[in-house]
Amino acid sequence: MLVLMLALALGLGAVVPLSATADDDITLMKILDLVSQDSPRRVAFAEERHLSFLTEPLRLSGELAFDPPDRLERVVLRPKKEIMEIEGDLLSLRTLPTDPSIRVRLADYPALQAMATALRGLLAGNQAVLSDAFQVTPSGTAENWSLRLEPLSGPVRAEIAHMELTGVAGQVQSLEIFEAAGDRTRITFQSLN
Amino acid sequence: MTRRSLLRLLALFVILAVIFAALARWVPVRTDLSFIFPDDASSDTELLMGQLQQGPAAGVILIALAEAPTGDLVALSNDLAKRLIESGRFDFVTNGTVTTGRESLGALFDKRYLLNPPVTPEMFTVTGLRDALETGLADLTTSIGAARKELFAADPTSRLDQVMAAWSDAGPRAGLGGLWMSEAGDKAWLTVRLAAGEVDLTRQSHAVETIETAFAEAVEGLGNSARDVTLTITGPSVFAVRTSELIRAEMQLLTVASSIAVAVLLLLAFRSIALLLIVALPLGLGVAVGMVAVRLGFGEIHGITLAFGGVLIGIAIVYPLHLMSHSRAPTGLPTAIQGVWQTLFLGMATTVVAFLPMTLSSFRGLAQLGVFAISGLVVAFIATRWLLPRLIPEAVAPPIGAWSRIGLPDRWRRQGRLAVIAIAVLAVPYLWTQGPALWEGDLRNLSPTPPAARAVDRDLRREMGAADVRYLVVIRQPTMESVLQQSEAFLPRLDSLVEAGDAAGFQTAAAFLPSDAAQAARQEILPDAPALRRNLAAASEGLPFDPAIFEPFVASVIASKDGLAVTPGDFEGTGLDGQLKALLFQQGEDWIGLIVPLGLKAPEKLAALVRAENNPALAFWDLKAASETVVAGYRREAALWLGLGGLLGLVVLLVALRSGRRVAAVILPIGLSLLLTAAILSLMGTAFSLFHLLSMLLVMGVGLDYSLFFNRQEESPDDVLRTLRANVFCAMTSVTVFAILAFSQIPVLHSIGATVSLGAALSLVFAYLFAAPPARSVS
Repeated sequence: MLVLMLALALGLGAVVPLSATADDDITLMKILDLVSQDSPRRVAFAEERHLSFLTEPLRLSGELAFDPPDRLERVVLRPKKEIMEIEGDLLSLRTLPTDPSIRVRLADYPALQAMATALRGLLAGNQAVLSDAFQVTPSGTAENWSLRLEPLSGPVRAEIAHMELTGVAGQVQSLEIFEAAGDRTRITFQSLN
Repeated sequence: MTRRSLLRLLALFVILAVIFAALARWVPVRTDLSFIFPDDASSDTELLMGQLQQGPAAGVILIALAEAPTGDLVALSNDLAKRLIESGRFDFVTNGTVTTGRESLGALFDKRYLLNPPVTPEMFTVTGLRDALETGLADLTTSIGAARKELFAADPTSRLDQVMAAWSDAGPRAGLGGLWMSEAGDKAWLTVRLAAGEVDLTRQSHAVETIETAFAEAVEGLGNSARDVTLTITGPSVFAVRTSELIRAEMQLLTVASSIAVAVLLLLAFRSIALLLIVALPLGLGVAVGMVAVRLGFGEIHGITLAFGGVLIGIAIVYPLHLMSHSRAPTGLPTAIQGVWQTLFLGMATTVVAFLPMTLSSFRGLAQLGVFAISGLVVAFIATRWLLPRLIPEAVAPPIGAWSRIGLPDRWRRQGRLAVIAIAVLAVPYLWTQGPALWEGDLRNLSPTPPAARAVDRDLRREMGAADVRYLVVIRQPTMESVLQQSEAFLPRLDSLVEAGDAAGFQTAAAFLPSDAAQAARQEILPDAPALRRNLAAASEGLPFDPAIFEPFVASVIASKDGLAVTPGDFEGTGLDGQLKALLFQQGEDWIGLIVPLGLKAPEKLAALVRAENNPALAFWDLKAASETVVAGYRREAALWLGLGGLLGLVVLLVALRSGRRVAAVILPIGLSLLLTAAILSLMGTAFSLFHLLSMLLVMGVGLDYSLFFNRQEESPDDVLRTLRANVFCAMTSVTVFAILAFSQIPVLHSIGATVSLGAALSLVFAYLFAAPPARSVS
């Protein structure tokens, strides 16, 4: 009986604070509303890649554009120019706009697919895209939210442990990717102007 | 016909069927190009034959996907490539990104510093390593670099990429480094290669089936948007499979159509289907004995000998038809044979003598054909002379009453003769002025592949920049090592062609497998472990690396330096094995290395480069020109033997007929029909091949029989009509059967059909017009 009471109390304790702060806490729907309405279509990004065999992170920067419903363009400007376009299940890579493209299927590159799905779902405000691919755990407030995404599909989970998106109201601030093998990539976004 | 005769006849056919079943097992049928090659067994001829039918491109199948959105094509291409690799039927599969075996190089991975491109001492100095590490670091920030980060520690200088680049076939330009795709994104390409070695029809058809099934499954997996996607496959294997399917389907159709046509004709002639069996028996026996004779004489029979021998024995259809036509109640066949056998014998003997020289030909196929036709015709004659009259003595043909109304007045025949001679007089200068254009020199045009399929192949090859093996540089040396060394010495000379845009590149064994000498030189260049570690540590200074992570790299360099040299055996399982064996092989005592140009635009420049070497080990080959030489030699020899045979036949006729005028009446219509057949075919745009020449033999054979019968002395006016009837039905049978064959899509069958049907019809008409039978002796 005592054990049962204790379990109930603990259980309630875990639930009660959540329901008690429901007004100022955040839901996935709310974040998607904010982002899909306010987020600019084109942002600058800075990326840090922490690789296990490097003593310092790799740094690169460029611009990211989203064209609803599902087109992403990621242009790396430094240190080496590269243009990546993702549309549907097709990924094209070029060094210069005039170069012939290398085209691959997104599904063959689970890590890129996970990143593309997260950004496309978030920026298009499409809850189904996110919840089909990830277990989504929102936290924080509307003014300072974060989303923890854990991949559901096997091939993606073999490469990506989880991802973390953060934002302030309608602005996405960062995406952090935690790879299963231990490497970590942190991308921060800034509005252009 | 009595029931007992019919049963006897049927029993004989059962025996014949059993004989054929046994022959099918006992007589090996050869289907390669050896029919057309001389028996001189020179090593160049053997190599040429090998290259024409099993060259480096023989096992390659090109695949194109089109008519779907770009994204679907990408997905389909990758899916298809994976399925084809998993099928295990192919040595090598690639679409530019999904590729057999390249991820598991096995023993070659650790020996990669011995492979091409050559290593230099500068690569392993502090500066060289520093440059490589800085480049590698920058590459890690790209998507492609990031995808290979697991390999970075083992291969920080991207040596693997350099080796792969040196190996890569020049694929479609638009897709270099990625998926093979047209720039517009509306076509995706793949190539697969069957395993090396004997490529047989069963394996080829399994391969084609595998591709088609995998494609259907991949499309299924994509759903609706890819519904209209098209699959195009081409290559020698696909041709072989498609052609044999086509030949089988056409043969069935043509056999059924011509059997029905012949049955209807004979029914019209003799009002009895059973008599069809009588006609078929001598022919069947002739073919069976022909096969036995060739098997005994040559140990095997060539497929073309079998097909053409069967056609030539068709001459013998004249024998039973004359026998039948001359039979009448109540005496039947035994009396009829007495009336016709001497003429039949003269026809048979003349033809056989005319074919005799052919048996001496240095072209094995031609010699086989002579033996086959001679033994077959003799046996068909024997069967007609002695077997048929005993087997069914009571068989009789219907009365010839109606035939008395057929015939031309002498005045018309005279005018007809003048008209034919006038046309012939025009035909001679026409054919004369055609010169070499009269002849088909290209061996590929003799291939049974329909022209439409060859056009698809040519277009796809151009789009994909795939090798179309017509030109080769052949290196012949006593050892593999010296072939590789000669290649290495010569290859740099070819750079000028690539720089000038005259060639896209070259495939050769030395690109994959450096000579032992070159490998030993590279082992000398590679640093030892302490030196490499020292330089690595210095090169990593200031870069975000702990030099200790590069131990796998050090291990590879040391394995290359101290280990055994790379041998052809190391390529097993890498997907390059088949290509290596096609480009470097042993022939008799010699080793042969091939250099195959890709996208060659200026063959004369390549020929000049080879000539400038002045090296007896190197030879420039134009397979088309070489095969044209072979074909022309064949034609010359065939013409020689046929001419000699014609002279011998003439001697036989002179001895038998004992009158120059009668001999002239016999051979003039044959000569005229051959001349006009040739002129008409040439006017219709036909270039003559060996197959036309052989078809002319048949025309000569049947024409001789028509002529001999029209020119013989008949016992009675009724016998004249019986001869006319027999000749008309002989000609109608030949014309019908071969006119049906002329509808074939297969060039060879079409040319035989057109030649024989036209020639047989003209032979009959001319033999009738020019016949000058001796007046019946008044007794």
